[in-house]
Amino acid sequence: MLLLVEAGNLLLLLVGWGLVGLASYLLIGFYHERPSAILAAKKAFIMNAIGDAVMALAFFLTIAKVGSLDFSTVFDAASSGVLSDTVVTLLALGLLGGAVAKSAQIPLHTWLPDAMEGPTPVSALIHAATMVTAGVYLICRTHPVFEAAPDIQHLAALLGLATLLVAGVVALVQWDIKRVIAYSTMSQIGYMFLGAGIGAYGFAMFHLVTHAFFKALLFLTAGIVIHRFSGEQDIRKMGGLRKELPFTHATFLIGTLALVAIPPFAGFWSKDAILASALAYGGALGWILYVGGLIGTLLTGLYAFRLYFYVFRGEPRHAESEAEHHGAGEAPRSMTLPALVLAIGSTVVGFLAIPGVWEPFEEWLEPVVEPLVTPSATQEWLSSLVAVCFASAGIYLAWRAFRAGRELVREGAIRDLLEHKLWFDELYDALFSRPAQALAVRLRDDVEQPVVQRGLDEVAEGTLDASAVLGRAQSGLLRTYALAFAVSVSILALVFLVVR
Amino acid sequence: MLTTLLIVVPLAAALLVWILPLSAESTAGLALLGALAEVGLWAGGARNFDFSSQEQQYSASREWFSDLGISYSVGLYGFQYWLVGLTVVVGAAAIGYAMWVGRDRPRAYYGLVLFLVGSLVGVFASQDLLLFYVFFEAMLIPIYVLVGVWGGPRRVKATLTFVLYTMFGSLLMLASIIAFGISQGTFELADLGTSSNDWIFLGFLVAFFVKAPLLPFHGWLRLSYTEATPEVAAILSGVVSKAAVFGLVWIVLPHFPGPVDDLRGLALVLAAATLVYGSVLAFRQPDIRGVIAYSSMAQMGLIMLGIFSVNDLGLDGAILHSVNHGLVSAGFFLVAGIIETRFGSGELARLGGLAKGRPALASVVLILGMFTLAVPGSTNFAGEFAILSGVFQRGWGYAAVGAAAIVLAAMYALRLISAILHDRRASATRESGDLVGGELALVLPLVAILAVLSAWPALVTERSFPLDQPTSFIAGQEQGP
Amino acid sequence: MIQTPHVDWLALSPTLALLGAAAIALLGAVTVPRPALRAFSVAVTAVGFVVSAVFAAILFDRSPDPTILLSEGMTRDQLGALAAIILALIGLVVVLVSWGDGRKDHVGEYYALLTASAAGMVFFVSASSLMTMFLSLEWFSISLYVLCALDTHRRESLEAGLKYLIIGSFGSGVLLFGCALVYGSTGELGFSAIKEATGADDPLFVTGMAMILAGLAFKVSAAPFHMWTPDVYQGAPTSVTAFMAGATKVAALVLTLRILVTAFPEQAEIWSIAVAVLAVASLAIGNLAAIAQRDVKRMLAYSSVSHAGFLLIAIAANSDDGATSLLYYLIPYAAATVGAFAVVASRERELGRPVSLASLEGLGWERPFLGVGMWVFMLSLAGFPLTGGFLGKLFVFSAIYEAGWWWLVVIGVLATALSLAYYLNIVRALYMRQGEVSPGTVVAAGGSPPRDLLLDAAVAAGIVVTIGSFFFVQPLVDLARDAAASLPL
Repeated sequence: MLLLVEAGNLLLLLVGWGLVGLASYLLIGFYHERPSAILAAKKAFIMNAIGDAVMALAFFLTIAKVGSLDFSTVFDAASSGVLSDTVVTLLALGLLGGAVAKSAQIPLHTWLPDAMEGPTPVSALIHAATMVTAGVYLICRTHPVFEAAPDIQHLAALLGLATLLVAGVVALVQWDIKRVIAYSTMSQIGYMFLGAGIGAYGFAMFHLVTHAFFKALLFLTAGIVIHRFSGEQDIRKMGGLRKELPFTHATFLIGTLALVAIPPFAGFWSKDAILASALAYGGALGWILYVGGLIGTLLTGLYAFRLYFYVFRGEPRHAESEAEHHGAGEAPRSMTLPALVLAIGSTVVGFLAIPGVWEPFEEWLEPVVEPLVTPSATQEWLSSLVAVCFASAGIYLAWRAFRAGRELVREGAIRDLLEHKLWFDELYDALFSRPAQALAVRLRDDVEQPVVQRGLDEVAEGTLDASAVLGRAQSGLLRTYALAFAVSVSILALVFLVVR
Repeated sequence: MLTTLLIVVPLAAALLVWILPLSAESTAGLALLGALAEVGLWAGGARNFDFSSQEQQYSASREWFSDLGISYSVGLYGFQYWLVGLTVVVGAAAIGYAMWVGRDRPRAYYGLVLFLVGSLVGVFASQDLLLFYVFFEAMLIPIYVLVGVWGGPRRVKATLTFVLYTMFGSLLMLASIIAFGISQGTFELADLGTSSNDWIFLGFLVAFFVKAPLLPFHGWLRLSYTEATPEVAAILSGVVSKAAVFGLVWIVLPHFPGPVDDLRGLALVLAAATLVYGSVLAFRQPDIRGVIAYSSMAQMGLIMLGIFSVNDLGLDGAILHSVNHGLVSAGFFLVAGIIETRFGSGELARLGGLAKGRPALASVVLILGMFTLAVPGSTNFAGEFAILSGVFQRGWGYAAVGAAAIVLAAMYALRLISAILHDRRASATRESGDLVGGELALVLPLVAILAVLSAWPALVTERSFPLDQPTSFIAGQEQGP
Repeated sequence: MIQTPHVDWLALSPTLALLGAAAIALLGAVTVPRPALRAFSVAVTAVGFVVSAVFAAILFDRSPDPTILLSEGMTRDQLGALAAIILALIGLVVVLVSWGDGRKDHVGEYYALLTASAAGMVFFVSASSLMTMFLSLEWFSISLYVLCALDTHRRESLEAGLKYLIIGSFGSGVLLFGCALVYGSTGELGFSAIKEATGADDPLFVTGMAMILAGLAFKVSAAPFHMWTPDVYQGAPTSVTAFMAGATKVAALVLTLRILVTAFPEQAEIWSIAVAVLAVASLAIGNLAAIAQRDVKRMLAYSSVSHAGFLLIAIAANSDDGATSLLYYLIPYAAATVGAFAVVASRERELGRPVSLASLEGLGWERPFLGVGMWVFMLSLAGFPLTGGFLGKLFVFSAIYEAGWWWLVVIGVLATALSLAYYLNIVRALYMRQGEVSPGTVVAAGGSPPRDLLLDAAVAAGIVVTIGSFFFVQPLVDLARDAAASLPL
């Protein structure tokens, strides 16, 4: 990861990119005796490999047209108009492809929920804070290219929007605690893509930072909860932990509030900055993004607090003997201390971008990534107000549903659709995985077998047949020999006579 | 002088091994000694090798068949030196493996392996067209016997298929060599000019396409790689296939620029098809060796893409990837052999779950698997990236196919790794522990070299062609004297 | 003083040496007591061959320019001398091989006939008129007819001898008739004289030439005149087969070259194509038929037919290079063929019955030296590098390519590919046991016969020449070129 972000040229970035994917594969498959873990690891790697391949193609094009992969050279070439539109578009598309794969955005997002098979600290680090955000980093880093291909940049924003909405609704029906958080991650990164897509690089990066804090916090506290339940991750079997794990509860709540973007927690400042940027961007795109973002906020409130209520509130639903859980009381210091640190961060870091008052983060980044759009302070505060309203509405609805003991999404076709994650997995399976296997088997049986087994056999048989024929001609009878001789001599003489 | 030594030392060792009536252990020891001496020779020569010079290094030339203009002429340029290095290292590893596992009729066996190594070095060092052919053919004799006598149950069919396919190609090449050499009046590579005769070109092309192998001449691959002993398979896939690389880069490209241009599209298409075909087939092979065999085929397709791109990136990448692939596939075959010996079977359906309690084995399989799929940061990635960048400039379609192959490689490599290490099956035929020092000693040197190359691929790419300008170097050869 | 004609004794010495040895051997057959007969005969004939070879070498050295002797009957030149050396050495090796053949009857006659036949061949290659050509041909052929039948206790041997006699006579008859036609149309017997005297369009002449070619092709075992070869080779005693496969071919090919180039150079367009066609036919038939053979001697017989094809390609080139390549190629060819038959002979003696592929199984491991030898010989015949056979083929192909007939190169190469099938079959039989020994295969009981040192020496010589002609090719090619220079090419 460090290599990735510190690289000064695209090749080294790609190396870091791939190595991060490798690490992810190894770590997801840590519990290698669990088939589901191995499958998840493979899926993650292969989807990332698709992204890598697309990026590599774009780099080949770059080498062919620009002659270098160095950042400055490439960026100058992109922004100076030396390259044709097609080339720049393809390059940006390639970069976007890689980013989408790594950051688990639609359409290459299906690996992230499965990646939760890995140990929770792994989820916290790479699938929340660092690796998955690499895509955002990439877009911001290579922003001159994207700015030279505005269509692609807008595509990034739209993909981000789609992801944040889809992930949000799917999270509403998940029962696994880590999956909810995973979809949440996907959704939040969608926000970052949205921001990067309209040129609010600073804010996108800022949201990246704050998200790192509160998402990691959520994962770690979720880990404490899972640990408390000896590995159980189904939230229907949890509940009422507020009293049992007070510290964990408090930190989890902080994380959740930050996620939902309630002031004064970190998420509020960063997410709303992005929303404000969308508002400031204006035009059809800007409004679609803004409204979508708001709906996303509502969804975030819904699923996040659904999670909170299920895990920490209500009566304990877990039925177990005393001996089964790891002793009563709060988690050990080793677990709670990191959570504390992250909780503090989730609270405080947001203050690095108080609109109109103090924006050191934005200013610090400005020399490198100049934003395309800067909302005014009014716009920021106004949109924040609206957003908080939406978020609160979400919280309220979640609370109502929980109190009534019903699900947010009723049984029926929609729930079905959501529970199957919009059938993406099945789609990919049918489109790619199965055909690939079928093709392999078909080639093996219908092409390879005949060629390998029988290719030479045909030649051999033919030769042996010819040989047998000749063997029969050799009759062993002298008169045959003499006849053959006489005939041959005659022909020879005849030919000589004719040709002379 | 050094070149001749490099050729003669294994041959002399072979002769000694055949003649001296030593015990099995002593024979193996003598063979290993010969192989290591060879590696030492090469390493010593590497230090004194002037990579920046435009001249051949360590060349030697003697009149042999002056009536036809054939001479014993050997010499090494950078890329040849690396291929020779690959040969001697893989040869030593193979002999080490044989020693570890034990082979019956050791004198004949080690002699033949050493003879094979010697002929291979000769192939890469030849600077005379006919001498090249002599060594190219001489390789077949030991392979024929090694596979046919010490191989698996279908060994006779395997070796016959191999020899007949190869001879078909080589004899076409012989016709081409005769035509080319006689019409030019000499067989020395340095003195030969160019020809635009498509037929002569095709003779060479077919021979090398069979050797690599490329579609559709690959019928010998599966059986030979599966039925040979692991170390012979390692040499076959790791080194022998590179004879095709050498032949194309050093004989075909410089001397047939016109036909190369004309038929480049066809060659690239075949190479790309091989890459995809091999990768797809590797995905559903039922045994370790089958996966590596088809993976090998795919990698050779990739290397061919690099060669026929005929530009600096592609050629450098092709040489680097040749070395990489040689080491990786040799290592993998040896590991496959170790697994087969320890666990009684190489079939994936009967393996699985081997990672538990066997950290060394798991690490080795994983590392080799990662190299196979060219994880970024590995030398294989460097080679692949260079090749694909190069071939992109000949047509973006080929690079797109190559990129798709990256994904396919990930698929089959991960499947292989999981099938060996992870997915627990019902019946492992035999229980056995982790890798021990002897086995590690065979594989780790290969991995170590790969690691060094991963950190420093320029070691090979910048030192393959004089002044690091492959295309101008090859074009320069076209002029002749 | 009577004017005695000047006799060039040196020119005749190789032949005379052999004749002398034959005579002494024949005498010995009658006089020497049984127990010592074999040793005596072998010694005498071996010495005879050595002396002949030495004389031939001296002759080679001392004949820079061709000279016609015996009123156009014989040429003293380097071509004849070189061929004589080769023939004598083949004879020597065959004698070594024959030592252990367990012959009880007609021992002395055997060696005498062998030597006499060789004498005839030595004279044959120096013949330079139709008359002497035919005489010496009959001379050595008749000896061979008898030799083939000499294993009187074996029906196959008698059959071989008889067949060879009858069809051989037919062939010789055609040859003679052709000679008659040529003489009739030109009035000359000597080769060079024929060239001077010819009227190129004369139908009689051309027909005669065709018949001469046919007769010689018969002796060379070229298709479609080859049909006697498999039966005769298979039935004859193995050492005789070795001699026939090696020496007869050498002699016949050298003479064919000589006569075509010396007597019929004007008709070169006609006969070179014909020779090429014969070559192609031999290659095709020889190789295809050999693949299905199970008896090794029969397989080698077809192999020799295919080699006739290769060697005829060299003649079809009608060039200096063609002649040189022919002479060079004959060296490893002879060594490999005779050596191969020697190994077969050894196995035959061990098993007491004809050698098939199945009975060769495992020979490579049981008798490593013989196995390696057989391996080397097969590779040489197949034209694999590291053997002289490879360079020979290469040289021949180069010559024909230079002559412009590239299609022959392609055919030759394809034929080589085809031939691999059966040569490798033998190597495979030697080393790769295919499974259980089939029931009914009887292995020699009571251990193997004692090592036959002379046979081993013969095989060793064969290996040395086969591999040596690869590495030391240029000296041999120089010799061949000198020899070829004596022809008017």
